[in-house]
Amino acid sequence: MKFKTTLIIAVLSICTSIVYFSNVENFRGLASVSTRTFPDYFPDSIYFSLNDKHEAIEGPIERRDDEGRYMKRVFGLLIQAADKLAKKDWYYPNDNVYQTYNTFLLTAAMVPYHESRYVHLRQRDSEQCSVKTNGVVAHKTKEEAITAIKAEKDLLQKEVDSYRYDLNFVNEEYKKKMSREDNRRNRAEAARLNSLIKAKDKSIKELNKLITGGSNALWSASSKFKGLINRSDIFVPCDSAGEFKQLLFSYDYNDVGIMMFNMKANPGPFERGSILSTNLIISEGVSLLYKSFNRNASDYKTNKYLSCFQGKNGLNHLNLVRGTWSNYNGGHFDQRACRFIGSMSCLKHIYNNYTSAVGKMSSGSASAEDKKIYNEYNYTFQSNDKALIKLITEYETNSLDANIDLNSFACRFKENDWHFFNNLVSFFYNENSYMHKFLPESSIERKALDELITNVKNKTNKRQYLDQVLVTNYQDYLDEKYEEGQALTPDNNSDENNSEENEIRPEVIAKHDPEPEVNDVVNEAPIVQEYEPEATIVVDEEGALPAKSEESKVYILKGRNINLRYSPEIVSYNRCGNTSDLGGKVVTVEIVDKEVINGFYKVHSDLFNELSSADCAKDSVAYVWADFVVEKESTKAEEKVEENLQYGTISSGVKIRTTYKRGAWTGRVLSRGDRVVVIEKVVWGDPWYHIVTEDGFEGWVWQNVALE
Amino acid sequence: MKKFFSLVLILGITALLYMKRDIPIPQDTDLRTLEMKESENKKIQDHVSSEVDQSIVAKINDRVDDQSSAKSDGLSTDDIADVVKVVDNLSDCLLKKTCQDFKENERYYDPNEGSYHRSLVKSLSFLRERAQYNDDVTITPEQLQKVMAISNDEVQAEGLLLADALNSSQLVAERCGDFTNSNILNVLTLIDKRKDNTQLMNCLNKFIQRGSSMALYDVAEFLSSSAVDVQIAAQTKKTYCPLLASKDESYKRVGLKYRSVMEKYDLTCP
Repeated sequence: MKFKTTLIIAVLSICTSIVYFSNVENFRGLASVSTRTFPDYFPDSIYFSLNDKHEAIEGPIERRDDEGRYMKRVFGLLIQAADKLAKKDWYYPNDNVYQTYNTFLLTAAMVPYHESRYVHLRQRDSEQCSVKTNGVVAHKTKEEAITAIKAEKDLLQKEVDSYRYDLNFVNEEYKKKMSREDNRRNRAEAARLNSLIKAKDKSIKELNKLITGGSNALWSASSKFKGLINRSDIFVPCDSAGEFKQLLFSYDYNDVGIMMFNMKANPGPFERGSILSTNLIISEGVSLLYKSFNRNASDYKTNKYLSCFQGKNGLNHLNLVRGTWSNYNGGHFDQRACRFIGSMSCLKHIYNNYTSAVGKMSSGSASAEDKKIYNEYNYTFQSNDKALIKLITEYETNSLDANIDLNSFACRFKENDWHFFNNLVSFFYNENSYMHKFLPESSIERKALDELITNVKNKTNKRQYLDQVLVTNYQDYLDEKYEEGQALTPDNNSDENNSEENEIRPEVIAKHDPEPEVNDVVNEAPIVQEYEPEATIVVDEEGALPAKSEESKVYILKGRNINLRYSPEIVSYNRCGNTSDLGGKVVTVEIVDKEVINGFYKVHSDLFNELSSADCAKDSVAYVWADFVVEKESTKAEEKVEENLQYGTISSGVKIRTTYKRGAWTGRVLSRGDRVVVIEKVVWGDPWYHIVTEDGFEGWVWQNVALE
Repeated sequence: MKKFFSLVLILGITALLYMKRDIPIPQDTDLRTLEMKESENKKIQDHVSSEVDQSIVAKINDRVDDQSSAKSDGLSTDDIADVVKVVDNLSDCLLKKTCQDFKENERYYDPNEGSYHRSLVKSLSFLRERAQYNDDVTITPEQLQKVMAISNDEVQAEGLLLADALNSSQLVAERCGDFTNSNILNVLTLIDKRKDNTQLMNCLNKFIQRGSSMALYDVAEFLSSSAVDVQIAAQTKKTYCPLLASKDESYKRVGLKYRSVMEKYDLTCP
């Protein structure tokens, strides 16, 4: 008997295995475990294949065995996008104001880990093009089928409505005084109608399932894509060999890409097509994060809904990360920022009960309830997760001193917040996120990541590697095919960049040089400081990534009536002019000395020789308050028709956008008569202007600029 | 025997009550409530539908901002009046928090903001662009004020631009206190052009009094980039100078930002 049972089990196991491995998708999944890269942890069926020729597709794009390079670029773009937003509001390193700024960099680097594991676009061969997504391309066929089902559903619904009407009539009749026979008949009729309604309702539910459930979930979600999904110029079916660029969707097909933009909540990226660009969508996602981050960090003392951000010594920065994500995930209401906090109170309550029970147990005065609490939670509090306990002590003023597995608590966090919390622990404390796993250990970006986490943990501001990331050009080399061992160098000046290989960049050394040469002698000829790299500090496995070209940097003086001084101090006698004396021209400057002295930059401009005071006119050099000097970088737009810095006046109110091609709204507007510096003009259908406002805000506006 | 009769009596009364019950069939209450709600909804929907041509609403709602379509949309003056009605209806329901009562508003629902602002923004943006080419955008000051009272960054920004396009920036100055912190720079920049120091000071004070470090920071940013009267800048010293010594980063940065105001207007802190 035993032998027979064993035999049957064995046969069944073999059959199951055959069936399992004969399923191509499963087989491929198992076989590729050892070689698959992180985007392949998601099933192929949630990747949509894109038309390779679509102009909006832009990297970084992950390719097989290329995850390190991909991750370097994603990290770089995230950090640069975050720096661009937070620096102007939160970064005053000379006055020790940097913790909130660093926290935003951390938030930007961490949130896409939670959202998408940093996946946006990948390139795969046809084997990994799931035919399930062909449904999108065959949208119209599907639409006809669904329309038929909907018609059937509508018919049933009409029947149900009619039965309900009859039922209502029977009810009214029943209330009247009637003979027993009539009442009996009415009851029978009511029962019949109820039964019919029930049956039809069930059928309607089944039809609903057909429309929105199972394989049709894809169709149902795709109907929200509006203007994007129906376009065969964007999506292609998996019916040919070759390689496909593929875009990641969520499992329910409602959210897309590295920042998991929800198509209903944030239709902008779909309307604009920026969802097809890893670079642009990172920028838009980080902007959305910053909206809440800035509000929460700024107003936590004055807004009653933001009280969870108040720590003992000011802002609780880790709660700020969590609250920012809560807003990102659930909407930007201030009331939603602290939605995660209730569970912590609950946890603290349980912990207090537990410690009280432990005390009573040891003193022999424990009640039955105390024993129950002790038995229930003792194992949990004794289990070991140091990272979690560190975080909890940050939260709860050191009152929790045991090691806690939060998963075992009844008052666990709302599911979404709990998952985010776990990912934050993985990223911040355990340091085993995908960014940690896939950034090459010797890369500048990995060291910058470590630097950033250490900075937030210890409230320091070490910048050696982060500053290198900020001056690296991740933009122009996104999609270059990388050959193993090849250093990434720009096409036009590769020699120059090769010479920098494995060396820390000069401008970074300048900032970290313990004794920088500071030339504060007034009226000396302009000196452009040259820094010699002293030592090879960083070895990046790819060699140095291309730095942003110094030549493309444009510095201008923002705002009206800027004082020009011949020494770096605020006194009345050292003023040698004002920008209002310069005939309304845009004042472009070179920074003579990158060191900020007393809040001032020493700058040179040919326009200064027009000043009446010889103190500044003689050498065209003056000291300007550093806040008024803004760096503007020219973009590489193929349609660019002119690039002359000049003033323009707004002829009709416009929104300032992040880029031309109807980029996202930046939150700023310009009204009639506002004066702007025009950096460049691009014709994209209509003219678009790359502008800087008088207060130094940079962006793009749609026509409505009259050049002066 | 007594017990038996008592039992019969109780059973009799129960049977009588059962026969006389008002709602004999389960679900009847639900059904009636449902019917009532449906009829009410119908009434509300009919009310709205009768006011505006829904195809115009769809046209506006589906359009993309910033495109040269406002002059070639082929909409008549009556159509534009319908768009104004949409603006007014949505402003009303947003302020009264009743938008969810209008079934047709579902298409306007913006889960990210948790409300119905998107369509309002699109309608306002359309009117603003239309006003550039035609003079048939007739929105009343009261209607514009309602728009500006809605606490939403993008709605208010569009309201501000529309007011400017219709030469009604005075309304923005009068209602500056309604604007969100995110719009402070937009509002102050617009008001500054009116060259009315009393209005400007009034609005600066309203923003400063909020106490929010975001509001304070943006006011300092405005002062440092514009060229207001020195007296106006000097009046802010009392609030800003103490912030230089703040230990809280969110306020300390405000003090540090204020140094550029001090440099520009030759102000000193004690």
